[in-house]
Amino acid sequence: MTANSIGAVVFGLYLVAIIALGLIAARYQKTEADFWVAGRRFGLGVLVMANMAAVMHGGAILSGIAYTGTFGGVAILPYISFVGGAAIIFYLFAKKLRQSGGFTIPDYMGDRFGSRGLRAWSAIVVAVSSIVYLIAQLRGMAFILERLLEFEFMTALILGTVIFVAYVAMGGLLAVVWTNIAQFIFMWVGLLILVPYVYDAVGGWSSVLQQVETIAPGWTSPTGTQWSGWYMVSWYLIWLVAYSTRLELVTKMYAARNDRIARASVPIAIGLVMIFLLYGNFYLGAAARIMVWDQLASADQAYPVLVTQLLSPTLAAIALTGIASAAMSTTDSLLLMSGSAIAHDLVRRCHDEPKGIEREEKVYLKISRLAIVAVGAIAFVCAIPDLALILRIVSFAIAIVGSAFFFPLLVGMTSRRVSREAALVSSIGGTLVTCVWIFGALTNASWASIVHPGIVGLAAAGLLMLVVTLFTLPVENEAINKYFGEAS
Amino acid sequence: MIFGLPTLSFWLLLGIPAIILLFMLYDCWRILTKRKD
Repeated sequence: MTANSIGAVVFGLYLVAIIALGLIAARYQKTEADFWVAGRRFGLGVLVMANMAAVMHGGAILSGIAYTGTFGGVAILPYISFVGGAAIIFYLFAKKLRQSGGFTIPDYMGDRFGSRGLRAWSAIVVAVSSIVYLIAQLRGMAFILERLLEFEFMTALILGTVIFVAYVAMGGLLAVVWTNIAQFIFMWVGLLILVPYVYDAVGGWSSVLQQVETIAPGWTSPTGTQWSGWYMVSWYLIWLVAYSTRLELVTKMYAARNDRIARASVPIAIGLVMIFLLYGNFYLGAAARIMVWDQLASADQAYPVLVTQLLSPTLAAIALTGIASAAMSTTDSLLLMSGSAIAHDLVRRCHDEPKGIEREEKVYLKISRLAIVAVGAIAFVCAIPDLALILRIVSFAIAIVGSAFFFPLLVGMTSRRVSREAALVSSIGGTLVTCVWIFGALTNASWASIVHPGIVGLAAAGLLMLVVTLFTLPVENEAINKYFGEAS
Repeated sequence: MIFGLPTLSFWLLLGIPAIILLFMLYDCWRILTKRKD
């Protein structure tokens, strides 16, 4: 049996397993709450694993090793941003989000500021940004299957999309989290197989760092091999905002059994992610730089080349399949989020409830599943052509989500004073400024290259929030009591 | 080489986030054991 056929068999078994998980999870789906927040049943262990899987996936490992190898340890170690983002969720967001009893971030925006317009706007931002991101993820997943397991690109795209849509539409968040945990374990099997072989070849931590610093001077410095100090600060700032508003992470708070578990899951998960990244990106990135860098056509090949060079064909097949399988774990969360923005936020909360339309839970469950299928179909069709523009837009997606939600979340959770108008103007204004700056960056305008669009959008959002709050009245008590308790 | 890591700045890169994380984990333990709300 060749390495590729072993890989295909392992991958086939994995696909059967995740469809089985989807079928089992489908049996637990009775209401919309079961579907979008898994009936709020997650205990600490499951939620920690789910949070970790939301942050790390196979694509992140591949690009992380490539990025770290190229730019130095600093590229994948914005640890202060990870910890800062986790601290914001832990101390400010997690408890109130879980206690509010919502399902999604648009639920928070609508409830906290008493505004249907803000809910609809937020749902559109979540749906559009998730679908654009999903298109890029589907293409990325197909490329990984093509490169690692030698599937045809189109076959990989169809297979991946159909499997995702099937298990997400069947089992909702429960299926997503179960399969993410399976993917996560599989990914770590793929990574840990390498440990003794890499250790034999390049030695332990200190030895690797000494060698890589000799080959690539500056690799272990805070600014890496190529960055300026200012670029590093803006990189850290963007990641701080990206992590504190990471939708896959923040929305999981709603699925916790209680607010204590929601809060506790965040620092534990981020701590484990940081430890794992030290090995999975940092050590392996340095090892790749030392061992295989001069053999690579592109940095993205660092992990596959490292694996095929060090392992026997059978072990290499298992390692590559593990990473290929885990390349899927962000895609299903995106599918779920864009589906919930359409079915729960736009159809139920923005259309049906204000008009007094009452439907049974099983009807909403059906609408939710249809939304997942529709989003999957749109993303699939858009992923077929090679739209380089979409991939470039995706690199700015965290800036759009950050400028739309960072200040309404941060200020809305900490101050009673902020007004509905301020939240609306800040969210829309910040997003528009970010989009104009992204347009400038995409058309190579000189003014847009000075600073990252996310920094400009955030500055605009913060300023608008402050100025408009000064001239408008706070949200009425009914809306804010949910987040601050009764006013004394 | 300082305790296995090449530079002081590298220690800060890892050390400062590690201290903040440990502080959060301490709070996390207090929340789970209901010593803190």
